[in-house]
Order: sequence, then structure tokens, then C-alpha cells
Amino acid sequence: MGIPVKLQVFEGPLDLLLHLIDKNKIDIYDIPIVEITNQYMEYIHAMDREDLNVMSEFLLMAATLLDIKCRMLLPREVNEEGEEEDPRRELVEQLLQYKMYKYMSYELRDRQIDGQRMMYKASTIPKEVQEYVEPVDLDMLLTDLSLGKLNRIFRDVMKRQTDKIDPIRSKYGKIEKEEVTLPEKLLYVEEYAKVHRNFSFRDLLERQSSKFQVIVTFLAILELMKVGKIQIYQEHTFDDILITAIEDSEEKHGN
Amino acid sequence: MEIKRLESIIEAILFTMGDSVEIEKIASVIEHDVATTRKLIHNMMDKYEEEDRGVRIIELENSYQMCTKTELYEYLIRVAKQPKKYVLTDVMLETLAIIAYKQPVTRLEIEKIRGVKSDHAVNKLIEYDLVCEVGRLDAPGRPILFGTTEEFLRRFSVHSLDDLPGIDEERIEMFKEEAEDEAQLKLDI
Repeated sequence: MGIPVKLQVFEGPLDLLLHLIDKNKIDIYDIPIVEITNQYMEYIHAMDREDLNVMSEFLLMAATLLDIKCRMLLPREVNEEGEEEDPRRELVEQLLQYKMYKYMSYELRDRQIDGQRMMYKASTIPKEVQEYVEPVDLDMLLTDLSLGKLNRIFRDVMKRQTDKIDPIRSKYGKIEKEEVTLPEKLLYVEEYAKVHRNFSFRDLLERQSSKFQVIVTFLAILELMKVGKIQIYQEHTFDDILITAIEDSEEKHGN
Repeated sequence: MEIKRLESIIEAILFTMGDSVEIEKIASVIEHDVATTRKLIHNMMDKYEEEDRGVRIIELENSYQMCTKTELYEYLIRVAKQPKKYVLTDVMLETLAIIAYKQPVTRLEIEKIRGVKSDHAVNKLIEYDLVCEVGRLDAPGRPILFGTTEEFLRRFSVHSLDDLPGIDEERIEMFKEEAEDEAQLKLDI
């Protein structure tokens, strides 16, 4: 007897087994293996051989059923407690577990109707509120840094800049003055901060090739502090000043 | 501050945010502890219910969100377009049930219970934002552990995972009886 059912009806071998068990009104704990295996085999023969992936799972179960069938015919194996093992036990447990989750999935399905009938409001915080950044507290930024200290470092660097100049070569013809604008430097320092995260104020200034460059860099640092992109601090008095890039604290806004 | 004032602040927060808001956040705004805040919100929930208001506050694990009453849906779709919700197939629901009740769970464990490959179902559930990766199992290959999302709670109107529908009494009885029968396996081939 062929079973005129489409394969799509069953989600897998367990599903098919449960269907057969229900159809034959069989006690799940007492599966007549021979009967069920025969029906299962019939079903597999009727199956579309298109999808090998699905097929293989059904065949695996068929092999399991046959294996159980054989063991049912042989004298029972005895476990440590001296009890006879039922070859069907493992399958029964698997079936029961599957049955339970299947049942729960119906529970869930009935519940989702409610959840679908609620409306939610998308977050509509005005742009200016979302983009509001707390004003930077300069006192906090500068912590224990005084203008005097900054000034000293600045002069220090400037002096070294003049020391760098080669007295002989500097007498040669004038070299074109390079133009550097504050916006350019801002980008430069920002990039530098992104790459280095923590860096020394002095190092950055010493990288500059001219007095003019140093001044613009210095301005850029002050500007970035003001907009809260970097923070500067000093561990001990007379130490070098350290600069830290402040992470963009972009709040996650769910859409 | 008096209760009325606190309630109006909470109401305004939930209205403004639209999304779910963590209780800790609300508590810090109204400057009260979490327990008090929770009491306040639950009191508001009851009030909304009693006064039969159009909106209600729902609880999602540790957050709260404002939404409309389900029975108003018919009216709302006349003015508000609701994007078409996806439909969950039986396979997906089965997979989702396993993940919801057994989380955190690996793909392999899901497949063991279902007896079939479940990649497709799991991927779809992730795509629908009902399931997400919640970590990795400390085992060879460090397999992904799956769990459910807040969207899952919303979609199935569940307040928290502890609130998932259990198996009803009748079912439990049936399973019990079956288990008792198991003790005396009849073997007729």
C-alpha cells in the first residue's frame, strides 16, 4: 500500500515516525517496530528522490529502525544493573523530546497572533536632541595643567627648533615658505590622535618642521580640546604632557 | 517628588524613546532605585489597564516599552501602515521552540532533537531578529550558542523568558502516564 502523502508534510524522519505512530494509534512506549519499520520503508520508497540531503536523513532513520528490529529479535542485552535493555529506548526518548518541542511550537504559534497586533512607535527624538553633546568642561580637560606649563613646553620646543637650524646652510637662499592652514592641521592632529590614541605633546610638536608649523599644531591641539576630541593630562609636575583621543561616544539608536 | 510627577516623567520617557528602555536608565533619570522604579511602572501599567487607555506599557525582561492595545489593531491599520510581518513556517516554529526553551543551545543540539539539518531555519530566524548568537560553547570548534532576542519577546507577547508558556497540566499528566507505562514495557513484536 503506497502512502499518498507529499514529502513536504514531514519535517524529518522523526516527524514521519510520529505521524505513523499517531495514525496507527500506537503507544509511543511500545512501538511495534516491525509494523512501523515496514510502513516507514513504504513511505521512503514512495518518496521523491530529488533531494539527497533530506533523503539521507530519512535513510539514516530507516537504518536505525532496522537495527532496532534486528536487536528485538536477538536475546536482550543486559546492562550493569542486570536489567534487560529495550533496544527501542533511545528512539522513544528522542521521539518524546521531539514531540514535546513540537507541542511547544504550537503554543508559540498561538501566542504570536497577539504580538503581531501591537503597534510600536519608532523613536522620534529630534535631531538636535540626539546630537546634543554635553559642553566640554575645560577645567576638567586641563585638570592640573596651567597655562604656564604649556607655555614652558612650547618655548622648550621652539628653542630646540632653533637649535636644529644648521648655521651654515641657513645662510643659503630662502626656501619657499610652506603654507599650512589651521583646518589642515586639525585634520592632521586628529588623524595622528586616531592612530596613536595616547601620545606625547612634546613628540607631536617636535615632528613639526618649522616654527610656523609648531604654532599651528599648537592651535590645533587647543581647538581639539575645546570640541572635546582630545584630552590632555600630566602624571607629575614637569612631566611631559600626554594627549589622549576621546572616543566618539556615539549612542546606539535603534531604528 | 510626588508620585504623579514621577509617573509623568516615566510616561514621557517611554513615549519619547519609542524603543524599549532599560529600567536602570529610567531609575537613574528619576533618581530612585530600581525596585521603586519597577513598582512605579507596574502601578502605571495597572492604571492604564483600569482606565482602558489606548496605549499600554509592556515589560521585556529588564526593559519597558510603550505600545498599543491589541484590540485596537483593526482601527489602527486604517491610519497606520504596518509593514507586512513575516510568516513563520512550522519548521521555523519548531526550531524557535527548541531555542527558546533550551537556550543557550548549539546548532548541533537543535539538529539532534529535530533529526534534520536546521541551518536554514536558524538562519531565517536570525534574519527575522528572533534569534541571535549569545556566545560560544567552550568545546572543540567553539560552536555558536543561540538564544532568543527582545524582538522574540515582543512578537510572542512574553514578558520574560520565565514567562514562556509551560506545558499545561493535562499534557504533563499525559506525559507522566506514558512514563509510568514505560516502567512496564510490553514487548510484542
